[in-house]
Amino acid sequence: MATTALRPAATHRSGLYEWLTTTDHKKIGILYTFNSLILFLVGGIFALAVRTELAQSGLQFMTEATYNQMFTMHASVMIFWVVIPFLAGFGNYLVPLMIGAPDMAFPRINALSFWLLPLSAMIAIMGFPLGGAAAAGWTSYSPLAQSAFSKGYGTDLWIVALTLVGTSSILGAINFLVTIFKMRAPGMTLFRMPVFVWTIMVTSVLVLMGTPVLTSALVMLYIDRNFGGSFFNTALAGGNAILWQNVFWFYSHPAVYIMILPAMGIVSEVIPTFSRKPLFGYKAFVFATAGIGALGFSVWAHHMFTTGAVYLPFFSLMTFLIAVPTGVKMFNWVATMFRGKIRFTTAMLFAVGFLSLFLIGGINGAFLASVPVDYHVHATYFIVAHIHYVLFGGSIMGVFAGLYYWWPKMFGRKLNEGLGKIHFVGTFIGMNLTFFPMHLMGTSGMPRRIADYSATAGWNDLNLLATIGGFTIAAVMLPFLWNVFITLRGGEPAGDDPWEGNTLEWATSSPPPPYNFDHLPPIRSERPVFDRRHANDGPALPVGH
Amino acid sequence: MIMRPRRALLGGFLFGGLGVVYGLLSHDWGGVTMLLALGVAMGLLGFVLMAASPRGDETE
Amino acid sequence: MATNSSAIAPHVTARGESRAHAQGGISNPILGMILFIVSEVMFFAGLFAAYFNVRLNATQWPPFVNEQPFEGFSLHTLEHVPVAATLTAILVLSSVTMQLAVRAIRRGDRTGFLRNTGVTLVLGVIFLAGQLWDYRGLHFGITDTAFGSTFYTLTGFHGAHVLAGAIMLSVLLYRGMAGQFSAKHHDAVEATSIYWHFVDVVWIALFSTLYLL
Repeated sequence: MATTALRPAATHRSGLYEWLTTTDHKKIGILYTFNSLILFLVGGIFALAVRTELAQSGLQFMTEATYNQMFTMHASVMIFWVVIPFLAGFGNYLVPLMIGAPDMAFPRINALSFWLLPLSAMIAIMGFPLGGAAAAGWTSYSPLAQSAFSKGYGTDLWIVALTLVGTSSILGAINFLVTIFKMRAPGMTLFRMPVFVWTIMVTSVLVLMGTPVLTSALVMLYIDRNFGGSFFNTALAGGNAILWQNVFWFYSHPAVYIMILPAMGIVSEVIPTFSRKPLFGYKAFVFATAGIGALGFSVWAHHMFTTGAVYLPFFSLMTFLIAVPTGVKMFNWVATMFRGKIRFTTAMLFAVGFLSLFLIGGINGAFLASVPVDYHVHATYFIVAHIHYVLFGGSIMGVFAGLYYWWPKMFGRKLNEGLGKIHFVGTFIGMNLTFFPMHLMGTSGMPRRIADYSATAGWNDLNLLATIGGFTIAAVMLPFLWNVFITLRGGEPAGDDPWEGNTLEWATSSPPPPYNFDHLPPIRSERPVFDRRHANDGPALPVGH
Repeated sequence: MIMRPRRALLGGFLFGGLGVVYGLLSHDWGGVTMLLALGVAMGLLGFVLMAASPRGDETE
Repeated sequence: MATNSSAIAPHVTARGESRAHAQGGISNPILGMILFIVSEVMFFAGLFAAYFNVRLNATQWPPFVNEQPFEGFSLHTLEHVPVAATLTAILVLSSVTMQLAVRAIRRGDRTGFLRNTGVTLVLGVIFLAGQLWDYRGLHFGITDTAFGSTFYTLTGFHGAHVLAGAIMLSVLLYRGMAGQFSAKHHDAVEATSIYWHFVDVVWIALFSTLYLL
């Protein structure tokens, strides 16, 4: 059922000016998406540089100093300028639509939040031509990050850039929370909101509480480096290098939940649509999300087990506990699919891929919660395996699922399914090829962040395999980019609701008009569009809560 | 879900309690400070979000 | 079907009021300011965490310099506590005048609002000047061990927040004189006052921690 969209009289604004000055959450969401996509390629190139160097023993292509910049900037770009903004972009686009609002609460601050991102990315990357980018790892531990050991501007540019990203995130979180709590359409109670909106809400709380702590750590590091401070500088009196780790991880652990919860939200929208069943255990899911958010603040020192400065049992216990709500979600997703009528569209493939890969990441994470195991594999490639299974296998797979699912809503045309399936298969295989060997590399002792390794350590084949996997992932980005290109240029219109979805974004045109909705369907459950589609199917079933 | 705003303060006490427990078990005063501040912040957050939420006429 | 709001802009009632006002809740901009303050609490939490960590892990606090106790680090003396206490009193007083300003505009008393806002601003500026004067009387800098780093960072960032608040108060004065506030529409005043009270609370924590403990 197509809705007609009122088109207000066109104002004479050139396309570029419109995009540069827009405060429309949908355009801003698209800007976030493209910014992240471009920076994903940048971060990916850094990764390929790392993998190319590590394919064989011996330093073939770069100096150690350059290598350090590669892995530092790969991680920093991927975390702060790709994954977090990808998910914020989806939130921006979808949250007002899903709750039946005309825009976000603070549209101009929304635009500011976006534009801080390309600006800060450029600041961080400026390090390269100015004597070397940051090279102390994305975790920037002292004393390595101090001015005596990280000379030059790179680290300082990184600090400034991250402070701007943090500001962007915090403003975004404020925007999301006010929007969600104050601008829901009539009938849209909190427990009728799509799960994706719940995940954005909890994520926004984590951002609001955690990011400022990172800002404080960055400020203190900057003072150490540039004003002779001695917060983390053990050379001078009173400084404490472990303090950096403590404050840094207090943010950076919730950061990983910031990166996964919205991806879980995306998957929770995709799976019900393509299983033709409602999400199993909606309320349990909401409470599990809140539980993960809350527990996420009490586990930070599990990154510091080996420092000797941590009360181990507390953090080990809390880390094991977090597996519980996460497990609840896995069961809910699988139970949603059970006995459903499943359509394996590309979006669904990425969502199911998420389930399997995130499961592996969760399991190897549970191993890390055990202190003795962590003592053995801390700072080895086992950790690199864990990180990438949850962030690539989890967050990025979730992002791709969301892209294929909501692309028709954003641009009016579906992405090509054939190319999409090639993209999925290549990514899934490449990802496992790259990161599964890293479990073995880690348990056999290969440390992380090393530019080179001994030819007789027994890691040669595993590294070569991982590099082949890395290039496979890179290679299948090409059909994806081609897909984006041809879809933007032309193709069959998708219509309002090409997938027979459940939630309000499918109740308006594709793309929606500037004010989002001509007409909202009645909201009596968490599936208003489904209810409207089946309104004439027979006697009314008890619905809503 | 309509919740009395004061109930939201419980969330803050949860983190405050966690901070106290952590303080008793470890000597990480930095961590204790951050957890206690989190308790204050969470309590305030929960309270204000609940107080700001529209209530009552949600049956439309 | 919703009868008292449009589908297009459900947050606006048929009478054009923001739904929050219609229901007597907290308006969007004020909620936004409170959430911002929540984030600022955590920013200062990180700085305080560093302070407590450094202080309570030190074998000697204040730290020795060149293995000798350093008199300059003593903030408990008669020289410094009264100054800091006076600054505290000034800031607390400014919070009172700020609240008086809010009360005034809530009942439409524009003159009272302007007068009290002006006094608040003046007190805030006096606080900043006093802070700088106190700095001049101190015998250590930011480079003098973690004591100096934590002291100047904590008080410095607080001072920066006071400065930002002073700018916000100036904007309020300007807008107030242009007649932009009324009993029904004065969100910016409420939001600024909440921010100002927060800055005051942080100072009380700072004063207690740095000068008294």
